[in-house]
Amino acid sequence: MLEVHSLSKSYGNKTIIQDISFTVQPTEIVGLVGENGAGKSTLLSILATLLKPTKGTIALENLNYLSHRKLLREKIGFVPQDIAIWDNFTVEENMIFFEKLSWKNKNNKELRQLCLSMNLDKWKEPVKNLSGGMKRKLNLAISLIHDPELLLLDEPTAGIDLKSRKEIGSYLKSLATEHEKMIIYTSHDMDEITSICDRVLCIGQDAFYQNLLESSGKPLLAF
Amino acid sequence: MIDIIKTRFIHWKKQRISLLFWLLFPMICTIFIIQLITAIQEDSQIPVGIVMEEDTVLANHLYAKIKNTPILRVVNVTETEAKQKVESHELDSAFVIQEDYEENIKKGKRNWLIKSYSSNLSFAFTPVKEMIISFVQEETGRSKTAHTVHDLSTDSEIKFSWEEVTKKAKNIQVEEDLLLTTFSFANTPNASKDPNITPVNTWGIWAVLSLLSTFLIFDWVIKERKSVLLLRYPFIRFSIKSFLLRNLLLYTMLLFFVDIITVILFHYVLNESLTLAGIGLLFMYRFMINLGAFLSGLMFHRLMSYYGFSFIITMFISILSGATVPIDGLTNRFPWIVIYNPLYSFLEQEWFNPWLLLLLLVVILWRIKGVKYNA
Repeated sequence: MLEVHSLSKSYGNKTIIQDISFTVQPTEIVGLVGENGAGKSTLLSILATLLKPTKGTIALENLNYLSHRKLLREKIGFVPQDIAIWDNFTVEENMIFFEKLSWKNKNNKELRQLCLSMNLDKWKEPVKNLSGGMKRKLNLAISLIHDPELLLLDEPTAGIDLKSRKEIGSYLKSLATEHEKMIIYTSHDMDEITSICDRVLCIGQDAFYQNLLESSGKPLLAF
Repeated sequence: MIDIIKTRFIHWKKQRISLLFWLLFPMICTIFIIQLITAIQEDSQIPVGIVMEEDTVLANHLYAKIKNTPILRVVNVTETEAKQKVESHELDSAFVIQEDYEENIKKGKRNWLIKSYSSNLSFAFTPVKEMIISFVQEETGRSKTAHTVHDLSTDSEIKFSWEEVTKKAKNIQVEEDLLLTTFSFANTPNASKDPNITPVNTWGIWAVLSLLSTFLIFDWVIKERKSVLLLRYPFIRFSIKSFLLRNLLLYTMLLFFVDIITVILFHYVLNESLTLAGIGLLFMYRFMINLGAFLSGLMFHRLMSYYGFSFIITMFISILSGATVPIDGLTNRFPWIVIYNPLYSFLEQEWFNPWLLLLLLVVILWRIKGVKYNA
């Protein structure tokens, strides 16, 4: 379980995140919405251990973020908004490259299966020849090589076609329910958020998102 | 480390042609340059025919001295061939070491020892003739000395033979190095040890070329620090710094392996010496330029700026080391310049390498300093 208690983040006098508390259970997908600059990426970076909070505590599986940062990183998968893969490699080479550097060893068959499970079947294809959707899937697959318990996704479907978007969405749902992962997901696409997520965290003062989400009937936490 | 090697092989497989090119570039280019210089030197040598009419110690000694003159290409001919070849201008001139040369020298005779042939196109005849005369005069001078010593010791109990005196005179000439003296002005440092690299210094050329190739090979430091890929490192086993340092070690091993092949090849192709101390110094040089290229790579984010910097720094070091333009005047006046030459320790075979220590210290400080990731 991920427990966030009274979390705040400021840069000098400017407060980005103020007094946020929530929990995420295994099998749960939590959507993160808010206007640009509301602090979604900052919150995701704090949850990924890349930034330290100004105030508050966070614990994942009872491991405190302040004292177990390195150990926590083995339990976290982070999918950056930009596609962080080797363009000159094939899908296979990318998977093998990051597997060799990963905390968990997986053989080629397991790596290929991971890609196939999200319909990424162009194993020998150079990445530069792949569509945007395929690249996004590979970006996600690499983050899952070490079987993280908490998966953080920063706009993982930005700029891709509807079919790939749906495929990624249904894969994330099955990942959460079948493999008991905790998933936190940011997106500007409200349809996607309401269809994939179990709960939604709305950051910022913009009533637009809150009204939109309340009408969808999803459990909502607003900050 | 095995996993790092496997990831590196994926990269190397993709860049095999360019990697192979830059790995072999210093070795092949140095051999090419040296062979070219040698060929040009050989072409610019003056062809001179030598006719040996007797096979004695003094005649052979004179022949060896002429043959060892760098500007001459000596051709062994008979007197008839000599005349024909000078006539047809195949030879610039020809010289006959005449019969009884040794005997005549021992007798103190100074005329008609050497006969010469030249044509109206023998442009180098006069200087070559003067040079051979000076060699013969050395021998006649020694012979005269021997006769004088012999005459002086007629009444003495100690007798010296002609051979003893001439041998002693030759030894003194070699030991005292009478023909090679270093001059320096008062209150100026004696430039007995020349720190400059001559343009035909094999290892000097190799050192400059390998400096450039190492810088260009080390562009991986920039490519693998692409900001978007940096976000992967917190979630893998290795921090970015640890990953880069392990790869630095791997590249050092690869490049040193190529350096060992270079040493062996230079030994067989260019007659360069092959010693353990030389290999040790080579490793230190290799490690130093790898550290330099690694740290330079860390300073840049754009490849084109890094490539530009690589060419400029190589050119600057090659000038500072005297490899491209002789800087004798400058180093004689400001001897401290050699301290700033990173090639100095390697080329002068000195174990103390301040540049290596400095770069190693900077890398250690860089490693100790923390790492910051931003999503």
